[in-house]
Amino acid sequence: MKKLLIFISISLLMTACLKDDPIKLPNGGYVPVQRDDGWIVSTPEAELMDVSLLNEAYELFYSDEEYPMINSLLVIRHGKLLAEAYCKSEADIDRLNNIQSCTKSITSLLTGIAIDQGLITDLNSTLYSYYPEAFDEDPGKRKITLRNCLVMEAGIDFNNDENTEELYFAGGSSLGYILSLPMSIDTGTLFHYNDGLPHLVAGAITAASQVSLARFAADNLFGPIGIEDYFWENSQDGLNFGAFSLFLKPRDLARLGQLCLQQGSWNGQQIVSDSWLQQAATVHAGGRTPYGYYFWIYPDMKGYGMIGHGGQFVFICNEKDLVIVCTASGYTNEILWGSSDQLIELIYRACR
Amino acid sequence: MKKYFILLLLVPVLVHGQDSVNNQFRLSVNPSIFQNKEPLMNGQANTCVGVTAQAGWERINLKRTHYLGLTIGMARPKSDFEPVHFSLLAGIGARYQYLNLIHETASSRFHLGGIASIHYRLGYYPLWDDSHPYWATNISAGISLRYEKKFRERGLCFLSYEMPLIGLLSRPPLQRQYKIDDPEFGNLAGLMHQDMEVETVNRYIDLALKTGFYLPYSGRFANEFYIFINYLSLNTSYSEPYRELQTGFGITFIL
Repeated sequence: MKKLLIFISISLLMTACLKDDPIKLPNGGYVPVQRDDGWIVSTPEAELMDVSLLNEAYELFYSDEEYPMINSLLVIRHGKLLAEAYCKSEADIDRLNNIQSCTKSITSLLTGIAIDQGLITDLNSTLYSYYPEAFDEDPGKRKITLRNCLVMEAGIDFNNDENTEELYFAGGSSLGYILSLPMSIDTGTLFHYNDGLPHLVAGAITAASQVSLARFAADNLFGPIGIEDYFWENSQDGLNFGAFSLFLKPRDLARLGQLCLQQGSWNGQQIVSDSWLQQAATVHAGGRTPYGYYFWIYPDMKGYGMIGHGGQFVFICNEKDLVIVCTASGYTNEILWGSSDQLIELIYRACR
Repeated sequence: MKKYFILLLLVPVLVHGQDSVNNQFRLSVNPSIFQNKEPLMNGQANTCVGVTAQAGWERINLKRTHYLGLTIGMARPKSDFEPVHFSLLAGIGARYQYLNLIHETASSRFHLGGIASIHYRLGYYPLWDDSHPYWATNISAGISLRYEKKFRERGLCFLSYEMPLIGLLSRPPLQRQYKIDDPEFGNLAGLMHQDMEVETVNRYIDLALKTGFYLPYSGRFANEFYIFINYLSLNTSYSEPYRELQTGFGITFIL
């Protein structure tokens, strides 16, 4: 009997296992929290949304099987926050999240503001005219313009898989690092999405404004629309990354989407010109998905948006008066992202 | 007079010899079912076959045993979300243990003692986070015990148990407000020692239970065959608890 007990005890111990915890919180609905932060909270019914389709979208959002690394999903229609949920932790409402390549779209907005303010006079001006000291002897690179960078057609052989990390840790001039890379193709001939070119644009804005990109954003974009809490990483030489690593709260990312929807106007103040937004949201380049000036274009839904690593996005649709914001962990492999189009389509179709 | 003086000098040596000191080199290999949970990324239990190897030196006299050894281990844990093994977890540690014989009968012995250990675990889970390493470091001290019972003519069956009572621990913070951790060795070494915090059993449980047979073949060579279960729950005030469970078997070559 004693031996049997010992045998059973050991067998039980040896077959012990750790239990999976749910990846997400249970479905807690999507009623927005009323806060004194400028957002007007509403309901799907009041903003003419089909609740069943919206429910379907949020069931996907809360599902452990779909979008495992998603953090938040916010829907704004007619300027009102009608749905909002955080599936990992309620505290994510106040957590700064790396929006990764959505940062590129913010760099685009800042480019528009710099043009509006006359700091940048011509998109066809060369990068060389802003920071000649960062260039090597290659005469071809001296012809690269801001426009070439905005449509990802500079021809510089910047490969995100290798060069983003090198850029992140590069000592000396970060602009010099990007410009030291070889040319892979003639400037203006091929769309090549990468993290190097927005950083070159960020360098031009910094040179033109004589303040850091983060400072320029705080004074001219974030401050006027009520974004107070943010963090923007910079390269070793102190230049804020133009392509990634802007950290924002989900509701503040939604403000930027809403600003775009409102043709650049916020509480009667024109933050960025409507003409710039129209240019930025017009197809200039791209592969399978058309691309504007650091905004992705969704022709089927007459919308455009920001997309960042991890599957996070901001979708803006003027026709439906709709903004959708989704944040996610920004460091995951694409296998875990899921299709953002599925969520966007459900919510888009929910708009009556 | 001179003869007596020489005899006096020899006394410690003679006494030492009577203690029948035995030095042993021990080499162990332990395949196991390895499971861990890194809630800083997700709540999933990752599983795989892992292996650890230990090399150590043991000094035994009639009443006391000292052991000093190194451990290395590797596992490629995988959750249900992963089609293949993306992740890599490596561990390295050192351990000092002493055991005092506190009770002995004709057929059994009971030892009680202490352990001091240092262990680094460094995980890279590129599917979930391709930019940051995840670590669980402990420098700890606690108790150990071993019960031995005669098995056949010369062998022993044994049960051993170790449990640290206090540890100096390091974990990654909840939020890392930067895109990439520098993968250089110096930076990783620094990370694994950052924000070290003293914790006791409320946040640090590290249990090791082992049972098996000791089989001597000759005066210098023996084997231990055993099964073991190790459970670790390691947390700090600023992080989430890392958990690890290993169940497996092992063999030790004693020379």
